[in-house]
Amino acid sequence: MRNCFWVAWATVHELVFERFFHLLVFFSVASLGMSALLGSLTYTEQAKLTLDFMLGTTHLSLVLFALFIGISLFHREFSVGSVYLVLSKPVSRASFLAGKFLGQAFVQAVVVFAMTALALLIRLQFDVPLYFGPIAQAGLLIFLESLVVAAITYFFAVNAGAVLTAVSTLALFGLCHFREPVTRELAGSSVTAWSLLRPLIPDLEVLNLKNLASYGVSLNGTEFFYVFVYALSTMAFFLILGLISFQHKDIGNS
Amino acid sequence: MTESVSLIDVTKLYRLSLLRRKIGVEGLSLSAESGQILGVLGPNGSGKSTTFKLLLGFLRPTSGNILVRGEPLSTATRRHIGYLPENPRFPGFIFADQALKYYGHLHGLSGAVLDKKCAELLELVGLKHAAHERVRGFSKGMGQRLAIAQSLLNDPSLLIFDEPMSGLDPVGRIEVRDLIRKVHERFPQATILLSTHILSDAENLCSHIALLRKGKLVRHGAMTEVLKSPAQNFQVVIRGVSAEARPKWEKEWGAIDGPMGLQLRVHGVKDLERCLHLAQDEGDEVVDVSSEKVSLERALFQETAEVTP
Repeated sequence: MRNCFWVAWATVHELVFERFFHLLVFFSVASLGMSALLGSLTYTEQAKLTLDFMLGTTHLSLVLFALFIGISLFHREFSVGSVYLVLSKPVSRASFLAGKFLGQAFVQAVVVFAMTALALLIRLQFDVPLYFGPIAQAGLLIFLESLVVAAITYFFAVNAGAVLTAVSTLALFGLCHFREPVTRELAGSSVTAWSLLRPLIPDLEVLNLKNLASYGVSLNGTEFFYVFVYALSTMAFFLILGLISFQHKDIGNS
Repeated sequence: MTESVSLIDVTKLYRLSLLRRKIGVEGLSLSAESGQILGVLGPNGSGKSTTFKLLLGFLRPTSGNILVRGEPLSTATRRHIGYLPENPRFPGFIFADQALKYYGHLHGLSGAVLDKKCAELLELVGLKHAAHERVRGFSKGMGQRLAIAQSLLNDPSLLIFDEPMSGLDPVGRIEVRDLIRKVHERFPQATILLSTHILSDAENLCSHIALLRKGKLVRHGAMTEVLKSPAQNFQVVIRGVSAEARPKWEKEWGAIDGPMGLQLRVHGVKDLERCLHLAQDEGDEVVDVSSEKVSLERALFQETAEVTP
């Protein structure tokens, strides 16, 4: 556990100095600014549209962050070879992977907190209700979804190269969001492959509270608890799959 | 002397595809005792790095056993191992002393003990002045010395140095070579496994060598044994040979004049006995008899030539 903490510590420091991270932060801030600008273009519902754009931007930024930072963190360790210095110490592979994940999760939490806080601050400029609860809920679920995406990324990164990881994660992410529409579309037809596949694909749309938040609607305590547990279990499922694969992987295979 | 590390009939096959396999090492049995510096030598693809990665648990053997201090390999056994990878790379953001502290924490060290250890090691590797500099600004030689320092944090009983002199300029090579000697003096009980392509470095540093070729152990033994002429050639120096007798010595043993007398090259023990008897019979003085050494390069060239089909 202590080693896990130290790997997480190093990961946070590494990310703070990561050029790609700076680029993503710049993209996020620019997107938030753009959201405020786009909201001002409409005559009515300016506050709602601004909030819509801001939550959408936060969601997109966090998903991109989870995906690309996850790939970069994991694959660079191997391509550069710094993984050998860590794993030659009495550090288990599980501690290493979990530490990387926790470090990334911490930075993602900071980013989502900052972006949600900024969205709330901008909303304060309008003469409308703040919707603190719904916006905080939406922000928290965006964070949890980004953790699920990071866990999926780690699972693929353990088993494949950077490009294949990105493609596979994005494909699964898409399927996770369009699971129910696809099921509705295929209802009545005898597509057995989909019916077999469907239970294995998590439904990430349940974590999407962006639209509700922009109307000031939030989930009640029980609903939120179920969604929270669902997100955490999905994340744990992919992370554990990744850990199992990593345990059996040959490192430095030539 | 206690056995520090042993590989027992270890085979590692790399899976290239569903049906194709490539041999990393095959039936490798090798051991090293505490205090030895074992040079693991061989051409590219001979299995040197595979052997080291197996010892560190990066690769899992297809078959066979690996023991470190008599225990099967596990995360816990890595407490006794210090590792210098080929081309070590540190996270760029980190300062030299921070890097050592980070790796020290991973070994379970902390507080004043860790601070003291880091300061000592930075001094040992000659990087005390650069303790607060970012690693990304380090030269290759400085990086290598810092990597050696991190490998010593846990007072290891087994040190694994993978190509420690690779990519260094001549000055850097000498520095690292001297540093390895210093490390050996500081940790005399530690076993050092060292792979290198530079045979003169191996000849200078190693007490033992293991020669690998195509994943198999071709030769393993003390350096003095390996450097002995395989045909047991001797150099004999005699004095007081008469002018009449000289052509006989020249014809038989290729005698030439040397600073101490007439130098002869004698092939094998029986020939040596004959030579010494003759010198005694003729009343010549035998000044010196020494076993002829060959260079490591020549010895290994002979070994690899012998196993080439």
